[in-house]
Amino acid sequence: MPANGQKIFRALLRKEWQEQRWRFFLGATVLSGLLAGLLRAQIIPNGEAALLIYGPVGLVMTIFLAMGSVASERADHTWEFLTVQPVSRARLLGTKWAMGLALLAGIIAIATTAGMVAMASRGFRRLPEFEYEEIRYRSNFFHLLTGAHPIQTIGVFALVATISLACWYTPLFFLLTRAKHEFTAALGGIFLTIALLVWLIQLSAGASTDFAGTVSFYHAALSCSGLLNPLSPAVLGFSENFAPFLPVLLLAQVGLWIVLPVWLVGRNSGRLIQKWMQT
Amino acid sequence: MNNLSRKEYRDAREVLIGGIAIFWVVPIVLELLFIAIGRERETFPFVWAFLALVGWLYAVVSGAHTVCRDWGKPEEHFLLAMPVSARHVVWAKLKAGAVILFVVLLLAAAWDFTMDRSDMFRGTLWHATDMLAMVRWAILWGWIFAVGYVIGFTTAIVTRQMLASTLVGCLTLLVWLVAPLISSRLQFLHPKWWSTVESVKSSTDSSWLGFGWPFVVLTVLGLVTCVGTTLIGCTRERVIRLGHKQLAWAAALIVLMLLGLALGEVGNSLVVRDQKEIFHNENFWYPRVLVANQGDQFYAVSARPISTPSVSPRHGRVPTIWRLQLASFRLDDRGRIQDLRQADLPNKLNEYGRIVGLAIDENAELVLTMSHTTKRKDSDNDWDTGLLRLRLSWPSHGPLQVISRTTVEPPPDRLPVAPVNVYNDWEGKVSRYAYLQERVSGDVHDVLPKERKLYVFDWSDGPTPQPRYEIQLPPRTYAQIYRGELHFELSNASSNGLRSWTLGRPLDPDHPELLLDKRNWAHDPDALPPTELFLDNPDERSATRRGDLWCVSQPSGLRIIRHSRPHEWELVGEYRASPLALWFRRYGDHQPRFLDDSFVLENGLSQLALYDTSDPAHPRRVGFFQTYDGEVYPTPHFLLLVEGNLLTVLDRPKN
Repeated sequence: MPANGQKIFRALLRKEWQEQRWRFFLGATVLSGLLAGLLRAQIIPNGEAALLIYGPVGLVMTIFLAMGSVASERADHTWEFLTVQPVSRARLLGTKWAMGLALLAGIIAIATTAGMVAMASRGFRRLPEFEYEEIRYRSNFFHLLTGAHPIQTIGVFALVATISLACWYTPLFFLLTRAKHEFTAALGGIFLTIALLVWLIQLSAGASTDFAGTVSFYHAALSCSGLLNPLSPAVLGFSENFAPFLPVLLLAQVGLWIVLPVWLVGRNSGRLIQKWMQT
Repeated sequence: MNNLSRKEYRDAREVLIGGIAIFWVVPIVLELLFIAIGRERETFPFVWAFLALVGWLYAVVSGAHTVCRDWGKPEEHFLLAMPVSARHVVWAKLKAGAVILFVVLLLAAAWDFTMDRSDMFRGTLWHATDMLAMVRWAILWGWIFAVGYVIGFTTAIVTRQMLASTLVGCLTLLVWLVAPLISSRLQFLHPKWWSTVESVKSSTDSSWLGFGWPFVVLTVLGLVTCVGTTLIGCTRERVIRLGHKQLAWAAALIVLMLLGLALGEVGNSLVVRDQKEIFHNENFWYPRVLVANQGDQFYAVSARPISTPSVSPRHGRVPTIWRLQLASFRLDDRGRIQDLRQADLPNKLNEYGRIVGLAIDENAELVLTMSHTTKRKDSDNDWDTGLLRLRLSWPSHGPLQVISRTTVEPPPDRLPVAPVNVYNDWEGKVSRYAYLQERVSGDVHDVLPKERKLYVFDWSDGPTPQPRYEIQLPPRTYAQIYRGELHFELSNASSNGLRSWTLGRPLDPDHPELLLDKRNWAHDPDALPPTELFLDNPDERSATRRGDLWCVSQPSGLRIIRHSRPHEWELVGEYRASPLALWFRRYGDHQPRFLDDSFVLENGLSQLALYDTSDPAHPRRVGFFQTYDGEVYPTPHFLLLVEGNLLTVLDRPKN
């Protein structure tokens, strides 16, 4: 890195913020509006409202942030201008990735705060516990948080959702750097996310047993493969049996999906990135 | 036809070919396939489906394309350099696009109309659509297409962008279609006849062919505004460019706005002040909890079976053991639950079932009334249901004590009896008399072809009172106590097996001597509003009154009816639930009741709602809360919602 590396890095960050801030404000408005509205309305339990918003809408936000940063530069042909600056491609990508990650975390933090304020403005309500199993399932979807204060429920959800979405954002961001237009990047993001969700379904397939009630090797393999899915903490973490292992799983996911890709990009900078991006 | 128009028609060939392919060729091929297969007119009209699903999009795209194919491009300057004004050019475009749209969609609709009406295509399964309905739908869709086309056209003139114009047109039509489905306040955006529920008003309103003047005026105003904007905007050089950021913001804000409308319609709006479990180890769903209060001191009681009935070879059915739990608490000024105490009744009660009433008498004693079931001696499978009354004392620093117990049982060797209290109702004040009536099977409402007897007991006649009055009811008549009033209902079974009920004038149950005069329990034609004033099926429990105002509350909404003179009923106002809200409303007893001169409380199976009826012509919903089969107890400042053992204190809206 040249002597004025830090200065360049800060300049790059500032540039990224100026280009991407509209995504941040739009994402924060949408996510906050949806979450706060649903939590304030109290028509479904808080846990389900959080899952509904942090899940599908959170994934859309992840795609939205991952797709635009590099693809728009390439479409406008400013990427070539950036690469002739005295800074490596890995550094460029790292800056863009870091800004996107910060925006994602910021969006979820703002939405969570808005949700908590909305809940407090209506008063905290707990739904009655149901006697019958199927109704209890509807009411208390997440056993870990049964009886917990609604603020705690939302706080835990937000934390797990942020880490899980960040785990998906990182590989998605680096994969989508290959796209030359935002439209292509958006399509790629959607298809990859659908593939991720199909992979996630293996978790439930793996959890099933055969007719004799035993877990086969095939099911065990499916479960283990599902555990590697970046979104698995958001699904498994709230089951009674798996809750104690949630911190371990989160740490493992961060290592696998955030630290490792960033390290690989930093280490193989230059020709490999150039080859991947076909520039 | 001038040269400008000729040019526009020539340029519009793509739109025309596309429209013909979508709306003519595809449906014709599909329809012909159907006819070739079975010569049966299809039950799914393809042309209508195509028109409804993609016609509006075609109209918007057509409007935008008519402008953007040369406007906003170098050809614009070429056109404006011609010796004609910009308005002439735009007007020619507007007319040419409209004609193309009209030809494509009208001929498609005419084709379907022909098939609908022609005997050649009509099979045994198909019945021609009602002409009035068809005309209404045709006008509505034609109107939607016209509005979509003009919006697309206008936006294209202002922005010169195809994508932006299409998106703005689609979003506008989306709001126009969806917003009235979500919000009851915006239902005027839909034609009046397009109502999910026929009402007296909507079915008889024939103004503007049933469309209603708000719909017609608003859409015409919108159309005129768009055309005006087009003609003014085309002469200005300034263009409003909408980038992807602005479009994304517009789409996001519209989604949020629709969500806000939806949540305003079905989301909770009453503030939760406090929430507590008032009983230990109670599972929700089974027990019924009743609440009574004296000032800010509240008592709640729950009865729950702790053993289930089974069959014993020696004694037949083993009695169910019930446990009574009581709770006492205070509400402070902020609605917080304070000083919560819980107690079990000292002894367990055999075969006592439902709690019928909980009240506090003048000596500050709790008076608990329960139904009391005993097996009949003459039959192993039949039983009598009497009433049990317990007087309880629960001082603030002492234990719960039973002061007295009174059992009302049927006279021996008579037909089986049951209380007249309605199942989901309760006595909120200490009644002096108890009422039992003869029944045939388990249901007291079963139509007895014979006369039946009504027994009246005085609770103050010692621990086992005998009947004070025995009143012979005429055939097919039964009594019931609901909301503290004694009603008599006459079952009218028609030849096709349908039953209807006619009501007598409600009586005060504390004056049983009135029953001795038969005129007092005769049928009263004014006991309930006429059937046609109900939104859904008439039910006496969906109506309540205060003075000359009646309130009818049903799944479809709420109506205020004035009954100022005998046999004269006047519909004053109504609140109609939106189609979205109907998804959240469960059919059943909505139990409306006037809380005071202004508010009506409605406690349905899945929600409670408060309506402000201070202006009876325009009742409006001022509070809403999703519930799970909860009971609601209003206090002057709060609403107590009891769902199982969970007590929730809600704010009561103020005047």
